[in-house]
Amino acid sequence: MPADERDVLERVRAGDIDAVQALFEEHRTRIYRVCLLYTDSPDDAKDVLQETFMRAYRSVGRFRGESSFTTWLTRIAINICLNLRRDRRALEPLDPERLDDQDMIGHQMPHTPLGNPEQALRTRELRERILALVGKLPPRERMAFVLKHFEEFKIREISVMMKISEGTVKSFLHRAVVTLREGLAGERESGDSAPSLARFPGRRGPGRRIS
Amino acid sequence: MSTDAGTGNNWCREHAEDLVMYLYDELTPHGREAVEAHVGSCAACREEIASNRRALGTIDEAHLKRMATFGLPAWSDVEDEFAATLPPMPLPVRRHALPVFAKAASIVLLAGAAFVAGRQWDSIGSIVSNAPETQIAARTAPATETEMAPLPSSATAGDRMRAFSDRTHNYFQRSMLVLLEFANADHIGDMGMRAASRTLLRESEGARRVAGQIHDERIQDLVAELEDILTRIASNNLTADERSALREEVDDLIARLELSAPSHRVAQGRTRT
Repeated sequence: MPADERDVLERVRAGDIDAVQALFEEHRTRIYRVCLLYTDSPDDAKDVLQETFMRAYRSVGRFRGESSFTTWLTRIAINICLNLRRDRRALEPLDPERLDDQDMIGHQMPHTPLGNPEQALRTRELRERILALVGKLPPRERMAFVLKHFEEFKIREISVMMKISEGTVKSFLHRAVVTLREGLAGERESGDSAPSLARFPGRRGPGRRIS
Repeated sequence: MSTDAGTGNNWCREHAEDLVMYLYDELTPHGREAVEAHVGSCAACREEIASNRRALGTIDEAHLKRMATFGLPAWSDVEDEFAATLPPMPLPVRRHALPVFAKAASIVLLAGAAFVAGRQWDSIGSIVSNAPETQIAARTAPATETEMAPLPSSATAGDRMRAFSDRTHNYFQRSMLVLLEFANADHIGDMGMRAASRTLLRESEGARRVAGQIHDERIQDLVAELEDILTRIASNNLTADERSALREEVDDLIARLELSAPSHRVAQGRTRT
């Protein structure tokens, strides 16, 4: 663990709100991004981000540095996200319209190479389509894909964060990639009943009951 | 759009994991060579990789990662609410970290996780609670009935870890099964889980005794922590908030055990083709 991070954690343990802020500033973007790509809801992502730091603060006394703080914090966020979905699984489907360009401008989004309006429109349509497809992935498959493809964590790290074996992570990823590929190719327009071509022979998932 | 549906069912399922690793460039050089040798002679797998790569490329074209900071709250957005609900100062961190014990217990975790990975269970209760009492007693005999010869004064932390692991292996293996089950349960109304916890609690005195004989405060700390968690899992009157808080503690405990030996992941014991 870096010495400066260790110092910040010591201050957090001592109840220093400025240290909490420092941790928040350091990790908020990545945690929020995971949550937003997983939930496709800025409101949910904000709630999860805040709850993540609340829980981290409450339990930081038990963090002993066996993992990186990033891994530990991400694990908390993942648990909250998965529980969120468990609580809300019957609620509304994802809304790909939320990340429209108008909203992004209003929130000072980073510069994006959208080029001309036609290109921007195509990119927006593609983004909406991808978000819709990602949203249809089973929760833990979706989380594994977000962590791998967008956050670029190693498969070993994802297995630790999600408390599943590396083999299960690979299984999730492969199924996610093929599902997305098929969706993008337009072969699964409904996306809700056709079995994936990528189901691993003899595998039925991790044997847990979350998703 | 430059995507396609791939090659259907023709690609080699036995290489599925390797193809994912290859796609994300996580193979060892040797593994990479093996995959490349295979796809060099297997058109279906070659096309499977290519079509998946094209799909991921298309996803990248949407710049979702950069877009996904939309709505990112600043500290000022959450500070007031955070400060208003900030709990009292957390308990001081225990200075006795548990790397030695964690290594020992991680072995136990791997056994439990392998159990999960192998799909050999449907319910923790059928494994622990429903077993005949005589069988349970036999399993736990080393931790509860056998006095341990004193360790020499020259015993290292590693020696103590090994001694403890040997004597409490079954206890901790089954404890980890309960922890994993609880961490992933939708609710705690599972009678089997509670019964399993009660069974383990009857054996915890033996684990405490072994820990005491080893004279390792770190191990004693963890035994106490595990016993406390099992006690609460065994309870059937937890509120939703208490269950949520307990799940966090269980997650934390599992993480500390699991993260201590990341190189010994269950998946590495898998048979790969």
